[in-house]
Amino acid sequence: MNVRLAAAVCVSAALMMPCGRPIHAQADLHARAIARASCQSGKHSDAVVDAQSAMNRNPDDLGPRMRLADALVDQGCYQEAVEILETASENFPRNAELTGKLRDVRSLVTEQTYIEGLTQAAEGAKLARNQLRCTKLGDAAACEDALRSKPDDVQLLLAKGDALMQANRPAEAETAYRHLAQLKPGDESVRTKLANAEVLVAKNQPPAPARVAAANTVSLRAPKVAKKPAVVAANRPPAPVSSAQPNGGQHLTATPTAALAALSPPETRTYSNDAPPGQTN
Amino acid sequence: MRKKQLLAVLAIAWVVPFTGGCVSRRAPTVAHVHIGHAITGVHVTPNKEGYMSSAERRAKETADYVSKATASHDLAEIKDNIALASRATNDENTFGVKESVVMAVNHITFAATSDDATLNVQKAAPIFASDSARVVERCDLIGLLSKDVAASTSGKEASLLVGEIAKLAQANLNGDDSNGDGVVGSAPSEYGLLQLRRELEEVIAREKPPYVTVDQWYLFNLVRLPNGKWVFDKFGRGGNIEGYK
Repeated sequence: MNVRLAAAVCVSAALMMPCGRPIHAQADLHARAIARASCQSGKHSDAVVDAQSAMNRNPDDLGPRMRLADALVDQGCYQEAVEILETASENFPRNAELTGKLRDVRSLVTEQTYIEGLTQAAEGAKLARNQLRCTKLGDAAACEDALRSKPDDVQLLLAKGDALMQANRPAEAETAYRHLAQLKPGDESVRTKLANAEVLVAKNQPPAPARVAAANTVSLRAPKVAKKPAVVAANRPPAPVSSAQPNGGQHLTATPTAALAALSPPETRTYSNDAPPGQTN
Repeated sequence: MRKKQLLAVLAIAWVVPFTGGCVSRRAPTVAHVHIGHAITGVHVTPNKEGYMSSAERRAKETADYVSKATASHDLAEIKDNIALASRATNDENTFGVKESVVMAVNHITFAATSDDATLNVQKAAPIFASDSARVVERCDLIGLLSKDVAASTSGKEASLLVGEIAKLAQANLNGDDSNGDGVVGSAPSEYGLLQLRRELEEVIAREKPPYVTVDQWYLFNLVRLPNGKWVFDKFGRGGNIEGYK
């Protein structure tokens, strides 16, 4: 008798779980995630469609509503299931099964919302960290990561451009400033930053063979000003305007952007003494 | 003979309430015991304090370590204090702020799932879960910035990061005013533990029958059966059932 009692105690003890830490079975969570994805797809399962038809045929019956709620839960559509059950509970306020089911499904909604909230919190923290590092510490990699979430964020684009200029990567900075200039077309400081980046890009570009050839051929007809940055050009005495000069050397002093325009592919053509200016050979 | 019988009956009547871990107080609802785990006490935390109390204590510790880091000009000392702050915030085994808040939410959710949960608790659980998200996000951010401090080779960079961590640690305690309306904690996105505690107190104030502080025996002996039902462990093992810890 004592042995039986001891065995019963052991079995019952083994069946009990402490409630300190909830145990969420991974498989259960996985199944719920799949069901949720199914609900989010917007296409209801056959079971839901059938139960919906049954409910429409007998709108005052509790059974079809319960079956519809079950089918919705199976598909991970917890909030919709709650709405079905809440409507039913107005007609059957004292039904214990309905009350219990409503409580359980509400709990599933809570759990689902909370898990989504935790995921969003983690993502939000990453974004906040990257924004901070980008705008306060000039961390270009952090800017890149943050801009994936907020591609049109003006502060991030500005900080990214500045960070890249600081890191002597003007070509990438130019891209960031150009995007920023599209978002803030009237902003003079952005235009200036873009122009400075363009000048540096132009300065850092290795001379193309064609340009070298052009320089050799054009040098007899026009001063070689196109390859000089605007800031340098601005410090020099103004060059005489020559109609034979393809781009007009004095234009480079107007804005640094013009300097890049002078170097852009359509204008960097190879001339020969036989061909008129503006035509490729 | 009759006198002996009478004495025996009286003795049994006196002893019975104290056997098997019984207490003389009437058993609380299971929902209220779960709420008690969130706010009063639970057997798994270091001081058997409730999860919210644990979160508040650890958040205070975090703020203290960050204050030391802020006051220091020595990079190594800054890093040490920030590492301790990060542990107080995010360590799961010692019930850091994040773990404690998550567990508090879990237990409020358990309360809402209990057979005897009132509609008030059922409706409050998802709101509390949602409102706690900002504290969790700040904990995550403290963790990320702490790693940056640990990797930092510049005192200037470390100081800037510590300043941000300090703001987050304070906000986790008292809330913030991120929407700039001049009121700290005016929206869930500004909530700290102070506002979350207040929210729970409002939930229990609405309870009918009224919530009363749950006796420790009930707090530490609530167990869940495999069928999902919550019952009190009559053997009074304080939740420490072998094999399930």
